[in-house]
Amino acid sequence: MAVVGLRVRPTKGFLLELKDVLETIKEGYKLLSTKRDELTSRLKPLIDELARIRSEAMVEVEEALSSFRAVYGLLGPDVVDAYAAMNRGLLEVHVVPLSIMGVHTPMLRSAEIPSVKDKFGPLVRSVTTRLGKVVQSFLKIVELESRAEAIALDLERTNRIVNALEKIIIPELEETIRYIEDILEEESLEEFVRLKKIRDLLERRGGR
Amino acid sequence: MSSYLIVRCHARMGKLITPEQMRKLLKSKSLEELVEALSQTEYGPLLKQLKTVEADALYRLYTDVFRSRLEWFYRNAPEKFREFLVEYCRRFEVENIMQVLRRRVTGSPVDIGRLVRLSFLPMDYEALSKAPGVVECLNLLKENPVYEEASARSIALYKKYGALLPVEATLKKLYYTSFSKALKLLPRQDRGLMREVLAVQIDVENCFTSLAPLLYGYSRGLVKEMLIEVPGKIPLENFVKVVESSSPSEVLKFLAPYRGVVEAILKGKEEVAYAMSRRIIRKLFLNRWIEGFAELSYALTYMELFEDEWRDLCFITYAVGYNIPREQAANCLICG
Repeated sequence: MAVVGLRVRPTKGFLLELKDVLETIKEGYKLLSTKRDELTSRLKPLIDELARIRSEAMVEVEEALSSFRAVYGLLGPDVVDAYAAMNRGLLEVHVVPLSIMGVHTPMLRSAEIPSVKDKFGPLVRSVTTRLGKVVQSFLKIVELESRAEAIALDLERTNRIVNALEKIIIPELEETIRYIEDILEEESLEEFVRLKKIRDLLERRGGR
Repeated sequence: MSSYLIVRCHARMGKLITPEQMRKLLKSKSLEELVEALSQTEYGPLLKQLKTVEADALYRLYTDVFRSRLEWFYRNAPEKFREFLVEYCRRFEVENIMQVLRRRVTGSPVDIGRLVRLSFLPMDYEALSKAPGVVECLNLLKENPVYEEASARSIALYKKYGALLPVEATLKKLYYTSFSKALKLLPRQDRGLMREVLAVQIDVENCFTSLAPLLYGYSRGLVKEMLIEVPGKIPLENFVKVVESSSPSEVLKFLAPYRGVVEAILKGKEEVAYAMSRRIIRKLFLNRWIEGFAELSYALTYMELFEDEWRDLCFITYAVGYNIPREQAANCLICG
């Protein structure tokens, strides 16, 4: 009888040690279980929000592309390219960590989103405004997707640990404890019988 | 002497692509089909020389044809009319300068071969494109007497706002002012038409500009400075009121003559508004077409029509190449 990776010694000291371990593991199990529930409750609205933003972004992208293609056709590639050259290399995004139940998730902080205001002339300004919104939505999607992915990965790991604790480690430990207790009880019974016999023997010798 | 140009324009008018043909071209399912349909037109021999059928290559071809037509037009124009043409075509030069300036903001390379360069509007684009920044580029432009004053003002505005938009407006103002002054070079009977064209161009430009604070949150101070003071059909005060306005219904009251254009801008369909505004100008020319068949207005109509043909063909090519829905594309055709 042995818990995986643990050599069982049927001693009282070991039993106490094992009981301590079991208590700690049960506490850990409770904490991890709470973490799992919390992560699940955080993940669900995150996924709902992601789906909502994604569908909104798809509409925005469709509108922006449709408008862009028309403007590109009307102004020609040279004019549009020249406008695009004005804002080249201006988008800068900073990522800061955000901890959710100990899970480090990325939080995007848009340090520098190219400004559209006061920069573009007719036609191009409507496209750039739409594209600006698309960039904002994409950044939000990237942020939520990576956050959901990080939470989901940790949730999967936590779930595996919780299941292992619940279904394997805790029952095995309890069984091992029960086994040691049985052995110790047997030993103490043996000891009791032995002592009783010795006492009887000593009494008989004294009576002579 | 203008008779020669007018007669030549009469001869060439029939070679232009008609609105019906344009609408047919728009129905092409692929660029190959478009090229096949175009091969029946004046573009046929040039299209045969194309190595690959790509939207950009076709765009270059149309632009070359447009440029050569403009050059032909200028060559055959009488002396006094040439002076007018220089000012009327300055908008292409202004657009070229703007393209160079936009690339100077971030120091992107400029391919001057892709600009609509005209021999009668000489400009050292090579030097402009090598300027390290916008201010340096404007300083170079200052050496050209036509742009001396506008460049100095542009530099001040660029430093004040840190944006090219007021520079663009200053250069456009220069074009409208020169165009307005050049009207006196035209025979009296043609002056009225071009005055109307100028008024519509200015009004439409001001419509787009004045709506920027309401729709896109542009700074009111900057936009007021960008308004073109040369009088159009709508008084400048109306545009100032539009700049200060915060209600879309109110602006329609001030810009009533251009209700359709303004409504399209308000709906965020600026490409449709742009096509509509060009259609208004086209209509002005076509209204005088028959009446002025023996006047310079006819030649100017031909010029307007081949410019519209160039713009429409470019648009149709990208519409076909990039699968723009036909209904949406039809709204952006200048020929209607």
